[in-house]
Amino acid sequence: MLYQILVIIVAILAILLVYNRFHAKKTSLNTFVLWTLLWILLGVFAFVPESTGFFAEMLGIGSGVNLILIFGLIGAYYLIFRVYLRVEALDQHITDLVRKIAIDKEIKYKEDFEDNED
Amino acid sequence: MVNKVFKKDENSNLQEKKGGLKTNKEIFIVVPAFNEEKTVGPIIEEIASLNYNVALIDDGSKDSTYEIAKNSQLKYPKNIFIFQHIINRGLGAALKTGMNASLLLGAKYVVTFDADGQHDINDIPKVCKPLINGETQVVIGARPFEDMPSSKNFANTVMNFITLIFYRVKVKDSQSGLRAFKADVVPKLSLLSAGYAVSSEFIREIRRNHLSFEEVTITTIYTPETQAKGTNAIVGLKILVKMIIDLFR
Repeated sequence: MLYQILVIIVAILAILLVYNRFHAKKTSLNTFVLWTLLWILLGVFAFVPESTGFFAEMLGIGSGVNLILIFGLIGAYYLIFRVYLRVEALDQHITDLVRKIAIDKEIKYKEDFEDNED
Repeated sequence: MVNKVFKKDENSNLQEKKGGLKTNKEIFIVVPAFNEEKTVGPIIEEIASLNYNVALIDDGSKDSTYEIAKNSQLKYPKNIFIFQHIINRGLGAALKTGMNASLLLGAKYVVTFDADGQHDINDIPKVCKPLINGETQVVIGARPFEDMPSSKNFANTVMNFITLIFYRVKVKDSQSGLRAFKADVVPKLSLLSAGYAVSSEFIREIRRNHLSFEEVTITTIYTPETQAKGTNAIVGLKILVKMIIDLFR
């Protein structure tokens, strides 16, 4: 089936990409392992679709497709949440930086001003 | 020698009677400004002329707010401090910059004051008085709602109600821009919100830190400029959403 080949290619590419980032020390070991496992799992599911049924039954979910959809949605929401927190933290850091620049600049200006006055 | 010291004391007493000139030096007026070129100059100059310290925060204005303020600073170099946010970070961020800077500069009392010309400078002594007399730690200047245009009146009433539900504090005017704090309470205020929601955050922080507060009725000057900004329905909704998100932190 075409979709099986596509999923496998995408999975291999994704793993290579994450490995590349890990190798260049741009991601942590945790992230690398997590993403690799996730893509391997997806590859297995694509190649042996029946295997999802086993996991679905184990968790008490009706069918294998539902399992993938449910976990896909949960995973996507979790990622959005992570990104949201990250963006907010970055936003805060920018504000801190802008504040520090503003205060340092004015205090320096006042010091120079007082020096000139003396 | 003894005589001289006595004379000096008498002088400073006289100064205080004249209009509290000595105490005014300990009061920092934090003025956040974003694109306020029309009003910022006269406002900070008038405040400085009363011998208060002004901490103006230019929050990344696109107009000539900064240049105008710099000009005013040349007239009152000892009283005016200008902090320029190189990019716009919002009302909450600007207020925090001003308050932190005021503490660094040795403020005893910190007053927040809007730069759009809606506050009356004569209200500054009114909001500071309870602090100086040691009666309370925080003063909120409450605008009389009956003077407001009906749309603003409605929006602010809703915001008071929302503040009451979320933070369990009943205030007359939760969105007021004129507030006064004793310097020692400022570090306790944890202000996370960068935008307009900061007004409600002040109320939350008052409750969280069990601060004593008083409400003083102030005058509000409504001009077309002051109408355009501030709490309208959309800002109100944004603040509500922010408050709900903050609940899950």
